[in-house]
Amino acid sequence: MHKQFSDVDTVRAELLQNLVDDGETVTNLGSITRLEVVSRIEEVTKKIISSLSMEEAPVLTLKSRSRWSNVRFSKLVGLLLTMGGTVSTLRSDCPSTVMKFALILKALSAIYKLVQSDSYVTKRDIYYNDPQLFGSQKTLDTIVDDISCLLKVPRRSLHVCASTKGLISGDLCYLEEDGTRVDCTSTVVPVSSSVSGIINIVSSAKFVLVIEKDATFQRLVDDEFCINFYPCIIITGKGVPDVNSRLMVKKLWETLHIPVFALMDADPHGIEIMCIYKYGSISMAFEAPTLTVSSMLWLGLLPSDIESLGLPQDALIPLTVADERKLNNIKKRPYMSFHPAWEKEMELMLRWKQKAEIESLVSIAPHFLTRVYLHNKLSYGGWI
Amino acid sequence: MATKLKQVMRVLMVLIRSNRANLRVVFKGGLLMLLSTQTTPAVYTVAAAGRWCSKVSKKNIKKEAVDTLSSFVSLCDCPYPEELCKFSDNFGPLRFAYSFQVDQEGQEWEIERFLQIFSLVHAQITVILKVRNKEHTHQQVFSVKSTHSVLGHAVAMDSTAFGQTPFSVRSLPSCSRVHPVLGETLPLLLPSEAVEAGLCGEVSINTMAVLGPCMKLYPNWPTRISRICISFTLQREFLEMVEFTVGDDHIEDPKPECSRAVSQEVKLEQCHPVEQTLTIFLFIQLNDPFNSQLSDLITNEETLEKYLDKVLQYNGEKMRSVLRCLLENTLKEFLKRKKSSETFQSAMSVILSCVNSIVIGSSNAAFRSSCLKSMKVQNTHELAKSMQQTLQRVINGRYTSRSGCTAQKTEEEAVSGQNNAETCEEGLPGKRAHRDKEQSPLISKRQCPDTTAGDSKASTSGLWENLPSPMTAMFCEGPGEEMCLEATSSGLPCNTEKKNQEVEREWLQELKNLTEWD
Repeated sequence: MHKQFSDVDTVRAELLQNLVDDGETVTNLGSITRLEVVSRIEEVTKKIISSLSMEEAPVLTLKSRSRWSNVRFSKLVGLLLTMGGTVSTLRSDCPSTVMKFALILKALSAIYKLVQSDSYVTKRDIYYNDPQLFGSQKTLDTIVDDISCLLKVPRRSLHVCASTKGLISGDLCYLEEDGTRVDCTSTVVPVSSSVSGIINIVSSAKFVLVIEKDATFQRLVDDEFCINFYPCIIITGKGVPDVNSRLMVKKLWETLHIPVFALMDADPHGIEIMCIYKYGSISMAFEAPTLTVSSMLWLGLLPSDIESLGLPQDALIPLTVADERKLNNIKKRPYMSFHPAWEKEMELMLRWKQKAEIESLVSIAPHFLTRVYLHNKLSYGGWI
Repeated sequence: MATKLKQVMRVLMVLIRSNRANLRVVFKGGLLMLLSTQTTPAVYTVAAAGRWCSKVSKKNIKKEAVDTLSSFVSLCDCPYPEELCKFSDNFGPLRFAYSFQVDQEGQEWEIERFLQIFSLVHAQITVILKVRNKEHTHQQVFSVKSTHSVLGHAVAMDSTAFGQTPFSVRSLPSCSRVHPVLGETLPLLLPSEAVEAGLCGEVSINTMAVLGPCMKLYPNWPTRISRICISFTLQREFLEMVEFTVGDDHIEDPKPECSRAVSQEVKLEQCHPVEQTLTIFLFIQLNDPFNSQLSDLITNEETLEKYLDKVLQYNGEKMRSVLRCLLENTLKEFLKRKKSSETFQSAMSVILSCVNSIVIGSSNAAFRSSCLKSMKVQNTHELAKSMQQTLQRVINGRYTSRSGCTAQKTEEEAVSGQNNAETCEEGLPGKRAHRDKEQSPLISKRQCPDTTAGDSKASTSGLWENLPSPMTAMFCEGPGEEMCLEATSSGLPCNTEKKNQEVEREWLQELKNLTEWD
């Protein structure tokens, strides 16, 4: 067992050393008090009233959250919102923006009450307060993120929780904010909806394995991977991760300082999801310091594994035009120049014009993933 | 109106139509209607001259005309041949000139109304009504400056037809162009009664609608549709014009009172909604390839006119669908504005209640007093009231975020091009509405030029005579597409566009120079 983890231990030591060496400081939105949130909402309200007092149409200026020009890359944190950059002005005298302006105020007034009374609701609760007004849950989701960006406070400080979709299992015990003790050792547990309130994390895991898909996660649980094979923690955000799943991965890294590996499909979508965990997304760049785990390593399924494992041709999927476009898009991202090995893997995928899902390993042998693939990868340092 | 006069007019129009190779080309000319009331019985004269009726003067056609006319009127000599000479001097040789006795005189106002409406769908013709007796001569000329050619009809599109707008009263720039929307062509099925009555051939209906005056230069000015007119035209003869007045409680944008959005555009003491007229043109076509005799053609048309109501009712469902589609396309902008207005109203109540709720719910005394001080009020109740009134003033009357004319769009682009700040605004910039107002005369010069009547005559005739098919040239976008054609001086659209582009380029250069000076 000791020999098995020598490479994992080595990488852990390296990561810890990097933490000490890297002196870059990044503003963290995490330490914002309730009073500060209340005061920022009042500031926004004051501006609206002030505009009205001058007979001017009130406006809300939001940082554009969909432009690469608005983010900068920090090796330590990932994608961060720049100070300047493009902004969107929501005018109250413009028919195309007035409704969004009103919806932001609607959510803002609800958040104001919640923060004042120190109570929490889910986004769904706010939505069902006036479903006709919001139209769809997605609209409210965007609005809550916009408010978070507008007030420059993390989303959880708005006292609005998102329903969680992630799952976690493995060598981990902790106390929830309400005092409930959670043991993930022999069971699958939904990721907490209040990750920031988790305390007393106890684990002897050697690493955290972030899994892209629920199916792969369930396979590892069924094979009792964390019990029979390795003392580790496995977690999945079921595709594109929600904020809670990302917060949980970040929390585990910050508390345990053990390597975080990614097990994704060998396709552009898988790489994109891994990048979100590692460096964040442009839409949530304002909250990157609390969400990203820049030390995350790509364990598999690597495109080069397709050839080295000799995956049968019928288990592979041809790359579509959209896939190629996505890959080329990812290659252009600012962080890619720091990962020549990743670039190489993507080149391979583009050259072979084929992709593979983790499930394709079953075509070699039913338990190939847990008994052979992961075992070899973790034993011989097959990550990049 | 005298039935006989109408019958003579029908003979003239059928003759013109049955002897023209290309019915879609519109030619100019004159029509004189001379009523001599000093004799008993009175003598009416109908005379036509110009290219629009040039083929009618052929010998065999003349004979056919005389034969047909003699069957229902007593032809006689014109009591005032000098009037015909004068008419001929102005419009060229007389192609059709017949005088006939009428036992029962028609009401003068009825004839006047008939000719006025006739000229609406024959706008290329100068129609002269002259009433002459021993004591006096009364003359009225029906002539329009703006025309739009559709399906061989020159439809009058004078801006005066839509009444005065606050802009034209104050000599403010206003769009004199027409924006007709062409609907579908619908083949009509004939009911058995009409067929039994002898109606034969293929009947179809073409639709077109116009909402005027054009408000594209003032997208935030409140409007209301006060009048709906439906014009029925059978073949090339005008049948009827039905008018409806729309009550105040229908189809109206909310009145702006002292709306800021409006006052930024044009400062007027009162911002009354501009009254718009929706005119729907129904062009009924009858094609009967098996009848070539003048009398048969006339009988067939008369039968269709008699059974028109029944024909339309018989095709009611299709008609309703075509008209609904036409109205949707024509009122697209109007409905968009209406929707915007509703959005503003619902958004406004949300904004106010949320801001109020934050202020009322705050335990921060400094914040609350700052809000009250800003709005110069004593308590939160007054604050709510004051905010409501202010917001109403600020956002009411604002319907659109984009200016309607290409010129304004370019201007915005040009101005934003000068702005170095990388700002992507989702709405209007604070001063934009004001800037629109200031720049609008320039825009008007570029996009909506006022041309003289003389110019227009020359250019329209040139256009109509040269175009092989106005339908293909002008409506190549297909049915339902909105067209933006200049009224009188509408040269070929692409030429106008090129001209506009040139002016735009010059204008952008001017703007650039101005920036450099700054």
